[in-house]
Amino acid sequence: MTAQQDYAKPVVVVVEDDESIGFLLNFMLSREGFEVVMATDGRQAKAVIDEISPPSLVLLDLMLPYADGYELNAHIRAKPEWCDVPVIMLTGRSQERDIVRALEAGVTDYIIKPFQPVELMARVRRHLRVKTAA
Amino acid sequence: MEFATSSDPIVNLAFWTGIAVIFIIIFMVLYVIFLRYMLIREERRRKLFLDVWRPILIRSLESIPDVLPPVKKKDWPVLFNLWNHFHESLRGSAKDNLNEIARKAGMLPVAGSLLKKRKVKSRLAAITTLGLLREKTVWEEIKNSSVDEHPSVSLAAMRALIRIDEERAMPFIIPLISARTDWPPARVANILHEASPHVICVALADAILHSPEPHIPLLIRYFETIACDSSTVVLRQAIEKFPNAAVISACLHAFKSPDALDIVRKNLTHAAWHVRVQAVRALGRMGLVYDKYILINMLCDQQWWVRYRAAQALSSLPFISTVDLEKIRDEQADRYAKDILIQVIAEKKMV
Repeated sequence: MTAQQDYAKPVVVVVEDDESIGFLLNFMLSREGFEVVMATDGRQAKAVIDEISPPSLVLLDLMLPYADGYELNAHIRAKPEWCDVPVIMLTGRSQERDIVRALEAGVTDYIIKPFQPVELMARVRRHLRVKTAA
Repeated sequence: MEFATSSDPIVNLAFWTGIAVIFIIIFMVLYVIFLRYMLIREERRRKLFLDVWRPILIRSLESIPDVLPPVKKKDWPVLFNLWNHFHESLRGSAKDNLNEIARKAGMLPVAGSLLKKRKVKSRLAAITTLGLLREKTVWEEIKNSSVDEHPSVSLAAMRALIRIDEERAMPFIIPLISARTDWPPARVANILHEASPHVICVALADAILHSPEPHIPLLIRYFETIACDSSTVVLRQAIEKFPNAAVISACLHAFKSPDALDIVRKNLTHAAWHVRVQAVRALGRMGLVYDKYILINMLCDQQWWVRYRAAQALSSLPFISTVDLEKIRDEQADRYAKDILIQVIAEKKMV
């Protein structure tokens, strides 16, 4: 099964355990014309990563049940076909060491909650443009 | 069943006790089933309400709908929690739209009435909402809640006051934060960060220099978490005004700029060992090449904690490598200095 075969639109994987924020992200991304694949915990996210082929982008929460954002990012980067997928971390943890740790682990961008929906979408579009250009 | 009509009182008592126990068990089972049913019903109602209102709030981030569905009395707490959650997760213009929809849905008068309820949960939701709406008309009511004996209510009220009018809130809040020992310092610091740095810096600096002496160390700890341009000047003044060990210790912990190196070095010989601990730690954070020798001397302090922090400070200096540390260790004649360096080098290699 591949994402390209299953979905006509570009795919964004959203890993978010907060139901309301997940709903908001799904709404915003769908409006922008993305196909959204949701996962609400680390275990579900790992299953998604193992099952589908590389999406256009991953939006990842840091604190998740079963496996945290760092572990999921490592899982993504360990898969050769997923290693170029832009990963945006969206989290409430705003300490310098968390940001440095995430960026050093290969996360493409780091957005702190509370976030601006318009800014988040601009970043998503920017990372997709960079990926397409590359 | 002959024993039921037995004339033996003990048999009779056992029989009726057994009957009573069976009835109690049946009643409890039925009560648990009833509670489960009510819970499921409540959860279903909540889900139906969220299915309607969550999309409304999300769409309102782009445009406010003309007509909103009515909210039943029972559903207000769910709407308050959902609205507060969105408001605290988002920034920028999205918040203006959420404020507009809250006013349109009639949340303001409901929040005002919830504020008067005795239930902590209702009061918390109301205070948070009114704070996020920056509603000035309920200033006095929220101010009264900030002295509530329940720490969650009083902290929520303090946050709401800062959100409504930070400059007006400061003269009232600063004495409270030093008096309320039941407030978790991490949460207080978090709330203080919501105020503009210049407002909180001025208010805390003033409080540090004019509050009663026992409150000063705690105020310095809060002051330390805020990035203030004048922090070294204020901390120097605090040490001059209150030259006791607790205040000096707190100031040494808070110093971040090399401008304070003279005062740090001066306190390396302080009589209180916890002051010497903070002095060596401060030297580790901002020490210069010359301070390496001072820290080496501190490895022979009579207090284990001072020796340990001195060794850690030495290893954290940017110009000292593990090889340098091993060389310093080999040069030590003092057994305690050597021991503490062995430990810190081992810890450094483990990381």
